[in-house]
Amino acid sequence: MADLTGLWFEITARTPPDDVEAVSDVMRAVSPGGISVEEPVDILGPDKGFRVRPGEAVLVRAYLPASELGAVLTDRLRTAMQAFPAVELIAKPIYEQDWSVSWREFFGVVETGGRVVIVPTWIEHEAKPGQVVVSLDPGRAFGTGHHETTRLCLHALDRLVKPGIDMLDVGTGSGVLAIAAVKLGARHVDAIDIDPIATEVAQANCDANGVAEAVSLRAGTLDDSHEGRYPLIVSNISTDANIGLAPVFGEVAAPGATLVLSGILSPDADRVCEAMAAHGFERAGFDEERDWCVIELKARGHAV
Amino acid sequence: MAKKVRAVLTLQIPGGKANPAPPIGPALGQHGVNIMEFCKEYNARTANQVGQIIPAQLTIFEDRSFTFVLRTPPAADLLRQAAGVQKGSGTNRLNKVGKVKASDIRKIAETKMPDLNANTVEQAMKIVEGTARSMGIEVV
Repeated sequence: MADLTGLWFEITARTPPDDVEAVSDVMRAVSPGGISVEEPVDILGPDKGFRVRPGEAVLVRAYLPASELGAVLTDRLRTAMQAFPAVELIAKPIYEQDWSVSWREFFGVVETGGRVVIVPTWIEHEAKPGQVVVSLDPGRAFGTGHHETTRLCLHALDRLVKPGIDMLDVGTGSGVLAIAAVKLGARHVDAIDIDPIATEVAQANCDANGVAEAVSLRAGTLDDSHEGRYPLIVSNISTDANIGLAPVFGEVAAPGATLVLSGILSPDADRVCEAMAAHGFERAGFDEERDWCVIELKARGHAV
Repeated sequence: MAKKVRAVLTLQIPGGKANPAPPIGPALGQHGVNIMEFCKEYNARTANQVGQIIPAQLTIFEDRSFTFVLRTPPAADLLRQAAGVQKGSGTNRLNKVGKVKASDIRKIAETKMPDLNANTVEQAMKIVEGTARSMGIEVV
C-alpha cells in the first residue's frame, strides 16, 4: 500500500450562499482543526477594500488526512452532503510541509535601488560596504518592502535624509521608513499611524533594529494640534488621505521643508500637487514604478 | 499606506488553538501570510473563548501583510447549544435532531446580526431559522 503519511486532501465545496452556514457546519464536523471560507469578492482600488459578489458560489474548504481515518471522514462527508444537491465537491491532494515557514518563500531581500535593503529576519545577509540594512519580519502591518510605494519612498529618503535631520513619518505601518531614516542618519523620527496595531508592530520592528530611542510612535490622526515642525516629512498613505492632510502639512512643515508623498497612483499626481500648492508647496520631483508614484514637494521659505 | 487588497479569507477555527497545521497552514501559506504571526495574534485575542469556533476574517494586502477581524460563532454552533444537541450528531441532515424555541432564534439572530446580511432582526431570524431547518433542528 502506498505510504500516505504527510498527504492531505483539500476538499472544496462550491456552495450556494444560502447553504454556506449549514455546509460549513458539515465540513467542520469532519475537519476538527477548522475550515476556510472564501467568498467571491471584487477587489476595489487602493484603500477601497473589497466587495462581496452577491449570489455567487462560496468556497468552503476542509482538510482531511489521506489515511484510513481520512477515507472514513470523506465517506461521512459525501453522505452528509446528499442533503445539499447544489453543492459541488472537489478534492485535491496536498503534501504536508512545514507551513510555519513555507510562506517565507514569497519573501526575499528587497533592493530599493539605493543604499537601503530590506532583509527578512530569517535571512542571513552580509551587508556590502555602504549598504543600510533594515531587518523586518513581514506580518500584520503594511510596509514589507514588497510594494512599489515603499521602495519609491526608500529611494527618495536615501537622497533626502541628511545627517542629524528630524523627520515626520505619516502612516508608518510596519515602521520601515522611520527605521530606514534613522539608519540613514536622521536624528529623530516622529511616526504616526491611525491603526494602533501598526504602531505596535512598528515598535517591535524599531526595537529589533536598535533604533527605538530615535523613533517616537503615536497611534492617531495627524491634525494641526501636532506640535513639531519638520524639515522632512514622508507620507505614504493614499491620494485622498494626502489631499485631506494638505492644510496640516502646511502647518507642520518647517520653512523650506521637503514633503515626500506616496501611496498615489501616477494619474492622480497632478491632483495631489494642486491641493498641495494651495498650502505653499511646490512640486520638486517625481518618480514612478509600475502604476505608483512618489512626489517630492518643497515648502516655501528657506531652510534654517 | 496605499493598501490594495490581494485576497479575503475567513478561517473558522477553534479559539485559542491556532497552529500551522491545516486549515491555517495551507490556506494562508499559499498567500504568503506570516502564519505564526497570525496564530499568535489570533490565540491572544481568543484566549477567553478556547475551543469555541471563532471565525477570523483576514484581509491580505498586495505586499502580503494582513489584518483580521473576529466574527461571531457560527449560527449552527449556537443553535446546537440552544437545542442541547451534542456536537457532530447533526451530520445526518435528514432526521430531526432537536428543538429550539422562537425566543432562542431571536437571541441567536441578535448575536449574529453584525455578520449577517440582514437589515432587521426579523430578517436575521429568517436566516437563522433556515440554518436550523437544514441541520434538522425544529423551531417550536
